[in-house]
Amino acid sequence: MVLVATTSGSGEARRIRLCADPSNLPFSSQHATEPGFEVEIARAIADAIGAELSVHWFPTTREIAALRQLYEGRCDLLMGVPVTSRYTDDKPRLLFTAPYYVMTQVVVAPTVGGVASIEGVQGKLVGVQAMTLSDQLAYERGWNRKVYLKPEELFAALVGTEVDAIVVESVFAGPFLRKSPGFGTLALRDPPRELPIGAAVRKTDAELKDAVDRALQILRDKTVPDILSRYGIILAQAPPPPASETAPLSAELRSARSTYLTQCSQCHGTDANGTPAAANLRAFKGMEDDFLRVVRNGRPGTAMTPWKGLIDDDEIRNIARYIKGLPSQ
Amino acid sequence: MSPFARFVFVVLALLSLVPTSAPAADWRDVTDDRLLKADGDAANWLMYNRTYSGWRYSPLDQVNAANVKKLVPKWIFAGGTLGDQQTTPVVNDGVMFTTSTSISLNRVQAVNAVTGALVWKHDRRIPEDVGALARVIPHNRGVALYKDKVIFGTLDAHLVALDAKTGKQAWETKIADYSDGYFMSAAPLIAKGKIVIGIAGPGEMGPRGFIEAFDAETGKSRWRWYSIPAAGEPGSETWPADTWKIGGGAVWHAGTYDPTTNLLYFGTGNPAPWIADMRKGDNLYTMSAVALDLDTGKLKWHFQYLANDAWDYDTTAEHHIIDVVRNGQTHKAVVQANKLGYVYTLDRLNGKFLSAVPFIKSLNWGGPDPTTGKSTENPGRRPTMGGPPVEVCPSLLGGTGWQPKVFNPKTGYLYIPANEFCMRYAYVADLTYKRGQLFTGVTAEHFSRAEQAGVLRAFDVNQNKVVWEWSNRTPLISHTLSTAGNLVFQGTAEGNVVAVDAKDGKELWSFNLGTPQSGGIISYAVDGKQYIAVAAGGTLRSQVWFGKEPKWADAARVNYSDIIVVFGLAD
Repeated sequence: MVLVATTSGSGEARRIRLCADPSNLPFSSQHATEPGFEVEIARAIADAIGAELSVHWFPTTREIAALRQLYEGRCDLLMGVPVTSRYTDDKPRLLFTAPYYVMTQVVVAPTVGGVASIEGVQGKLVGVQAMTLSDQLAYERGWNRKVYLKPEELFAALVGTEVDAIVVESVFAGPFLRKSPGFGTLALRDPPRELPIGAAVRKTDAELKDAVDRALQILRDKTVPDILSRYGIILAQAPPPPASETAPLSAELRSARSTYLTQCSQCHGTDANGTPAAANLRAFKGMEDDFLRVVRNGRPGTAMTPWKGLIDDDEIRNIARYIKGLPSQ
Repeated sequence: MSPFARFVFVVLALLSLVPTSAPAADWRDVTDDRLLKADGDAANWLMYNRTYSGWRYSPLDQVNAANVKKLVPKWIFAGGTLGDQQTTPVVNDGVMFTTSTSISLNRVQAVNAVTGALVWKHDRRIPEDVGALARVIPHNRGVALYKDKVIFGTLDAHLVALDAKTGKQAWETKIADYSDGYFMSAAPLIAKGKIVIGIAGPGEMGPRGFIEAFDAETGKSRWRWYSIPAAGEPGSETWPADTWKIGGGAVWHAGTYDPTTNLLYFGTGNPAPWIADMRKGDNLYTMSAVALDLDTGKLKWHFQYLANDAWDYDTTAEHHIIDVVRNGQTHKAVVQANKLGYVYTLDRLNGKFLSAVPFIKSLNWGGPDPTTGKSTENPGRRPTMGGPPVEVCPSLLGGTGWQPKVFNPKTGYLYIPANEFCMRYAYVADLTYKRGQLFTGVTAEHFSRAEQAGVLRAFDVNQNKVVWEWSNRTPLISHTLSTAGNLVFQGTAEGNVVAVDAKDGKELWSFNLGTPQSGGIISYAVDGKQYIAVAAGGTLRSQVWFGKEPKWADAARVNYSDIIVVFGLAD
């Protein structure tokens, strides 16, 4: 382990040097009062491991230069990297930890007189930050974009009614919403652009990576969500599937969700909107009794098999309610 | 002319002296001796993989790289069902036996292999209350022939023998309780008077997997080997508490057999549920190569490819029996190209790991240690229960899955229908075991960053490397055949069957079947004429699994139709 690994004395305090940008809120900052959520999560990790954390402040505006700090041993840990193969595959000198949150895109609009639904965005003027995933998303959906260079400019444009709404990465939306009453988010599901975010260490530091992963296992349930919510990040982020509801589910609907996802989603899709082989269940026109009948008896001549005797009637009805309660897309 | 070709010529000449009349009258029993010497019986395709070695290589060369352009359809046979079509037909002296399935039906048909005329049809009605997997993807991979019987496994977990001349049932044996989710999809393997077959269902449904041997004359059970040890047995320490009882480990694909070692070689499937956190431990003997003594069913050796599988990467693909020559040294080996994306070579006498080489590029789960073969995983590829999807490559259909790999002894190449694709993979939050329901607990969406996601790769088993590739837009969940005519045939989900040069992969011929190619491709000869038979019709995998990737949407719309198309050279 690099935590001052030149000596093997087990009694010595471990040290982790974190690479962080001195001025990049909400991610990190040299300010003692608001250090940024990535610094806070790194501290929690170090505490869990029983290591001492120091910070090597270095601007992350140029990714290559920031990575070089890690490669060349000026720090041991870099937070906030996408842990998708698109990013990690061409970084053979690094190891990546498990993700500790998922960055998504959200639409932010005034709660009154703004955009009421995702469908309503069409035809409005939508602000985006240039060259971000949000920009790409708005472009692909054919929305009328106005492009800004920095998040601050984007939020200023929204507040100044230059645009009707903005699409922005969830990390930026959270802090804005906390200090800007009168604005809200619209749920947006776009799985291909959801980005699991983790940390990177040097390839030779497998032990550190394992220690961070173990720490994240412990911190995942409470500490990390607490830190993120203090920065408003949970608030702004569409919860990841399969927990795609806004309100917590009842025990019946949790069971129905598990049954739907396990028994049905392979054909009907994780979001129930169908595949070439199976129907879009969100477009099901019948009543709950009709749903029950089709699931029990199947649809002869199609791939829809009878589920009679396998899923009981109450559970089938709960599945119908679970699907009905899925957020609109 | 190669010695092989000369031999074939003689066989064909002999055959042509025998007039073909009604097949029933001419029936020649498929004895143990004929099965043992199946390789030399060039005109016939007597068992699922044609030979015990698992090669799927036809020594016929009348159709070859020089004349394959003249290949035309001779007849088409409609099986008449709408299930998954995964069968490999077998042929004995001009009679073809094929299977079809749908919800509540196992069908076996005997067909005149020259004209395509139906000789007999046997339908077995399947109870409505079978488990979820047998309802969702009813499928069957084919029959075995023994003496004058046609033997197959059923969706209600029985083994059935039919009279080869009439299709009338001779006997049946109940193998397991279908209410537990057990069913039979594999074609049986018959050797030394024993029918050997593994069970399907456990990997998705929960109950313990096994391989069982039956007396080929009577159907009586001779031995059963469980792929998961019971509490107290060696290996049971790799399962926490009672998880072994619902730990899966199906053995749903046909094995191979080496008469010189008297060992059966099977690949075992994934543990259940697919949520690895629910069964912490190595989960022996899932995800393994196992060698069983044919006479006793005793485990001679095992090699676990992946401990505590998190991704449904079941390693059930056939283990090819090949003597490989590396650095001047001959190894009696078994070679498996599997879902993990690697070609593994093991010593078939003792299971010792010899090598593992990747054959795909979309690979991020991890890989085997080059010296020991023990797998190490890359970080961040295991989902957490109820957590966000994780991108894992390959997808759960694998670098290559159950679709057989074929080995051509003339080129020394193993032809691997391989896939460059990934999945967004998540574990559900609240999975509980319910008898008869799927016990998987995951969601998965397939995608590919590759322009050409299906890649047929020729792998030189002696040089231990890929030597050429031929690619297709969609993944290759279809079959492959190699022949002495320097040809490799490959099917696609778009519905094409393509012939390429076995030496360099150059495309020589293709034909649009009109339905996804998804069953076996075989070759046989009758009256001196060589035929290529292609079973097609589609499998849920092509429609459901590809359905979410927009660039494959058109291929996913191709209709199902259970057919066999037989090709011959134009007159």
